[in-house]
Order: sequence, then structure tokens, then C-alpha cells
Amino acid sequence: MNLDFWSSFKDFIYAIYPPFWDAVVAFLGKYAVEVLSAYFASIILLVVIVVMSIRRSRRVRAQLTAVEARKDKS
Amino acid sequence: MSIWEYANPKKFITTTTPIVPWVLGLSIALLVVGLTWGFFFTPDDFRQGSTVKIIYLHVPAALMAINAWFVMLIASLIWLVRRHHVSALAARAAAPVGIVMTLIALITGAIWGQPMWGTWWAWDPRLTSFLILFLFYLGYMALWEAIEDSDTAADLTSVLCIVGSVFAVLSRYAVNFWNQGLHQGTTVPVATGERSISDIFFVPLVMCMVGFGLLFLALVLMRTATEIRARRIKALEARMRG
Repeated sequence: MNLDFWSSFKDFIYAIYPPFWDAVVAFLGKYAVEVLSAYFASIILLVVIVVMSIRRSRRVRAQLTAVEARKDKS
Repeated sequence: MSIWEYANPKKFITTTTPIVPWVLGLSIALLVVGLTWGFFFTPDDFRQGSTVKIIYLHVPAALMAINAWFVMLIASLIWLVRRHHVSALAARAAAPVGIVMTLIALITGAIWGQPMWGTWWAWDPRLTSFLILFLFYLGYMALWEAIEDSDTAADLTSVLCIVGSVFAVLSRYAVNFWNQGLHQGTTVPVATGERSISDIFFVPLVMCMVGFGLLFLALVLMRTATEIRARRIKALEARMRG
């Protein structure tokens, strides 16, 4: 089952752009999919937490400015 | 000047706001250099092949997953003893960052384990205590969201954090305690200094570890300031309603 999963995953990547996959295999050898998956998953998670933190920070800051302006008016 | 001055929300925000972009920028630069170096310019291991390149993500993430919980523990104890709101909010702010680090460690560990151990997962002491730590992170965040009164939430989550610290300690020392399971011992033992890793791998690894540490610091500072502002919004809205 494990082998089936990785094989289909490799087929999927190969189908997107074969020369890329050939170059990756030449560089990383038989564990190319494992290494690439680990990097891909980790970088995605890191980018998500950074982007979410920045977006929430900006949103809350804007909300606070709006609430303080409302308070000053009233 | 005392460190407790930073327990003043205004002082905390004015001090940390100009620092955060620099710390964040430095962490991203270190991660880009460290990961590029590790990925492209280090050789394959003679036994593990190219999977050794996963070390530059797995080890720093696991390190920060445990350290993030200890940061939350210290902040929670400060809240329980001195009742500084900033420390409670810092603990709250650290949890989402810590859970992401734990998730990265678990995912990269499983991906690394599959070709090396022949299995994605084993109920090994270190892996199991790490999974429980992940569940504690989830519980901690859920508890903050579930309780309306922020002081009560801070009290209860602080107690949960103290209980969860057992698993943070176990995650780090499970291999030493039980001396069994698939997971190897510490690669870079700080206490003895006798590391079992060549300099070729060690230098980019340290770079990634510092990068992850600074990223954690930048995100926690930014998120704490956000929590302080969100709390102020709640207070102002309550005052305007009343």
C-alpha cells in the first residue's frame, strides 16, 4: 500500500513536467519524492502561519483604529 | 529598569513593534540560506541517502515544538504568580506557532521514517509523547476559544500547560528514559557536547535551528501584540455599550 501511494505520487509529478522529475531524480536519487514532500509540506505550513499572523495583525490593528475613532466621536 | 516594565501592554507594543520586522527578516534569511545550503550543497548520507536532507526541517521544528511549550509554561507561571495579562496573552500567542512546529516535526518524521524504518508510524516512546504533545496543543487552543472570560481562560489554560509540560519533557527525553523504540537519541546533545553529526551537516543545521528560533520569536511577539490589541478592542466595545 505504501509503495502504491508513492508510485502514484511519482507518476503524478512525472506527468506534470517530465524533465523536472528527471533532474530531481538525478539529484536526489531514489528518495526524491520523500525529500521533496517533506520540504513542500513544511514550507507550506511555515508560509501559512506567517501569512495568517501578518494578516490577523493588520486586521486587528485596523479594527482598533476604527473602534478608537468611534469612541472619540461618541 | 526592570523586565516587568514590559508587562505593561503599551510598553510591550512600543518596544516590540519596531523589532519584529527585523527579527522576521533575519529568520527568513537564515532559513533560506540554511535550507538552500542543506538541500543543494550537502552530500547524501552513506546509509540514509538523500533523506538526510530532511534533518534541516525535522530537527529544528521538533526542537521548537518542545521549546515553544516551555515558553508557554514560563508565561503561564508568570500569569499565575504575578497576574500580568501580557504573559497570559504571550502564552496564547505561542500556541498556534508551537502546533505548526509540532505538525512539521510529525509530518517530516513520518515521511523520513517510511523509507528508513519501513513504516510511517510506530508507537515508539518519543513519537507517542510527541503526538500527545500535539493533542495538548490542540486542547490548549480549544480551551482558550471555549471560555468567554479571558482571566478564567488564562487560569485554566495555565493549569493545562503545566500538566502538558510532562509530555514536553517526555518528548525530549523519552529515548533516554526508556532506551527503546525506533527513534534514535539526540543528535546534538547540549549537555555533553558530543554530537554524532559531521560538520558538513551540522553548520547548515545550526543555521536552520537559529532560523526556526528567530521565526518563533518574531511570530510570538507579533501575535502577542495582536492579542493585546484584540483585548483592547473588546474592552473599548464593552465600555461603549455600557
